[in-house]
Amino acid sequence: MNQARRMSTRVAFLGVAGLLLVSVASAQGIRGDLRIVGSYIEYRGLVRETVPESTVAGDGITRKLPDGTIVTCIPGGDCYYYRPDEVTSTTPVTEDLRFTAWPGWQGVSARVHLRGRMGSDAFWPQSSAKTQALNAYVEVDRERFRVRAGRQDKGGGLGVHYFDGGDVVWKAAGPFRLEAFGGRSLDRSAVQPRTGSLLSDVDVLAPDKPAFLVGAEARVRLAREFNGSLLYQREEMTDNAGVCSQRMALEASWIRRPVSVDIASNYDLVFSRFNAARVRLSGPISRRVDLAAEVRRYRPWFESWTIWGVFNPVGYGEGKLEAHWAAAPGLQLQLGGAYRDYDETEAGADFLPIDGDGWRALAGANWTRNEWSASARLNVHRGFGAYRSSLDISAGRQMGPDAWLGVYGLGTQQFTEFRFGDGSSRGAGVEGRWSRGRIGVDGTVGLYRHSIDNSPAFDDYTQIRGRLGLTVGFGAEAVTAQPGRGKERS
Amino acid sequence: MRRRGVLVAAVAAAGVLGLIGLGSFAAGDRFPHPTHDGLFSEGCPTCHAGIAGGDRAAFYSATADLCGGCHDGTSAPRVELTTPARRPTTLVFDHQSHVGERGIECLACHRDPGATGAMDVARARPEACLACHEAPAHLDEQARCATCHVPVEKAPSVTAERMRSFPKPPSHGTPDWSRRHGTPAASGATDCSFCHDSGFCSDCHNPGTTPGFHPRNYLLRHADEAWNRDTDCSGCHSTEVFCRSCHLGSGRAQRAADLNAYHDAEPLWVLNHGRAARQGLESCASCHQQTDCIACHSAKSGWGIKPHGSWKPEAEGGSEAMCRQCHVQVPGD
Repeated sequence: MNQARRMSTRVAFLGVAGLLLVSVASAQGIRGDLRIVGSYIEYRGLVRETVPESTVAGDGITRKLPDGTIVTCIPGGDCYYYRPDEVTSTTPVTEDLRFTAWPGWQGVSARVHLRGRMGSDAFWPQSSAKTQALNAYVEVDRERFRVRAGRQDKGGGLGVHYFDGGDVVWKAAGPFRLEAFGGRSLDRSAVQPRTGSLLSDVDVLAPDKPAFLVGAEARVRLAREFNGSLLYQREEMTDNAGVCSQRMALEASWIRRPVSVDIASNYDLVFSRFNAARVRLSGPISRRVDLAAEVRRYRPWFESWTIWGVFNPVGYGEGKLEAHWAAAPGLQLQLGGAYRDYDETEAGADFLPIDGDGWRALAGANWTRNEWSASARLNVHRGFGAYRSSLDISAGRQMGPDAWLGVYGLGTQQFTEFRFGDGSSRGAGVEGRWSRGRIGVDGTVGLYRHSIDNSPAFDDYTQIRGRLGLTVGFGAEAVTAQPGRGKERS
Repeated sequence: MRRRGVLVAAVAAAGVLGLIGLGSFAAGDRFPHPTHDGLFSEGCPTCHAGIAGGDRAAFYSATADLCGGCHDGTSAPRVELTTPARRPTTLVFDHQSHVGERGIECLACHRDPGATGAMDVARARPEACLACHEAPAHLDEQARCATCHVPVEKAPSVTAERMRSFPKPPSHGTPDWSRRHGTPAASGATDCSFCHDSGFCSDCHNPGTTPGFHPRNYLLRHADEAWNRDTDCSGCHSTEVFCRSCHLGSGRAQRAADLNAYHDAEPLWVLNHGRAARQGLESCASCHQQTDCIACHSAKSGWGIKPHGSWKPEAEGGSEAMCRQCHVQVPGD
């Protein structure tokens, strides 16, 4: 039976690979780009130090070294603390090749997205996966249906899921659209089976069997104002040892200009609990002011091959208000705030309270005039686990149609509820992008100064971070290179 | 007689153009239809013979001889006849079925708004399509794009730069669009694929390395976001592979870490970690492996400390594989 299954898997894989090759080789049209990004990031890790308990003055679990460093002592054993490691650097490099090919048959195309990490050092997450296919599928898209086969991703109310298999969409007449999909399930971040090395490297209880994914989605569009989708998804181990996940998501939006209401929720069928539910109402309250109000319920979700779900994580309810004011031509101001309150945990010691609520506030401004733009943003976040206040400012100038140059600065203070030391950082940098035809270059470099108060073991240090990207479009109808379309990541 | 009238009209038109400094047309200039009003007895097919029959090669059928009848350098300035290149478009409109088969007049779609002359023509506007094809306003989120357009991935001649020049739906200009676009996209409220190819989404929503989704310097201050989950990290990242591998590499997560050395601001962390775990379990799992917890909480190999709180497996379900990590006998068996 297993042999037959393996054989049919191989046949399916070879079939899709063959179709891919034929599509690409006979392509009448091909369009894509190659993007190479290299970064240089200095960082300072943590090292755990041990000193004999007998050499540390005092008693109890928490004590101080002569320089004021807090240590945790095991009576009759050792005392432990964390100190900063030497400043070192990492150089993650990624190469992304994306293209779509049309072989010239009606509705048929092939899409491929390959990622390489050649040149990366070992520190950055997933660096050991030197080459990877994020997408490699053949698509047949006709008036009433769409079929995809190969490695693909399914996005929606449950996030993004990758799988090797098939996906069929039936574009039914009228307001309905039905979709069914299934295949070998892949880990969201690693884009490899859960039996792969990336997962087993970080969890000794990683599954030893791959999982299969099946799902279906129905979409409906009613009365020109309402749209909704219901998505069901189940992942199960191949040996039927258990369910990895079984969830549903409901998404709906009701739009009657200028007001819109969005509803999003997802439900864990394994634990019979809602993980997220959100209602957002937005619209203008005057000619220049837009307001958005949101109520939200959130409870963490974990895959069911882990034990985390049975630890009964609690959720929180949150209310949020945001206002956007078009104060003057080219000037947009933003003000917002949110408050959240956690459910009762039924755990811990009453005489050791921790925060059971949190709030955030935001004030921002964006300004544009001709080729100039600037923004400023102030965030204050007092929450369970970690607090932060930060100010970001940036300004940039479009230098003709092909280039953009900007500068930015930041100041941020951050500290955690469960560790000593208030961290603060100040930094500044420059960023820019340039493109000419099919070639684009983008990059940024910044200098940051980090300090941690109340922790003698941590001295201040200066960090350099930089990133350089190259994008080359190709194909008969190549996409114009658009380097740095998004914002900087780190 | 008619020929003479044509000649007079052409001379008059040329004179007007000469007066405003446009004595000759440079290549790429649009043909001045209104100034030729009344010159062509056969109307539009005089120069666009292929429209009704769908013969694309004859969409622009005017010849240099036809123009030269007037623009001979004497009666009117000489002109150079150029045929405009076909514009890259996502439109699926075909003239044959509209003009040839249904007999729809050219001016029904091509009349310049507000003008009345027989040759006051302009490029067709979407409103002209909507006059017959019942739909809400053009670019309305509820409009069926497929009535007139193909998805951009099926129009390879349309470059990203050209797409950027197309008008945007009104929703895209609302201040909070970047935050709220997920629900309309997931619920099918918008036909995103007609203007965006699949690579557009992955520019921001790609796992791993693509900058875009998070604001600048997010790495520096993701801790409070992660603790409080303003954004659902698990939609894109798996806690184990993404978070833990980085925390392990930087020394923040250490295997077999002892008691509370890291959580040094909580002297009695062991007593109180349960509350923190219930509120921020995703953050715990971003450093700790399951075995760290099982060491105490397993009924099989640990101290048997029950971690479930008010959760009742018989009422709320669970996975057998998960139960067997800590129990020999799965509850309910």
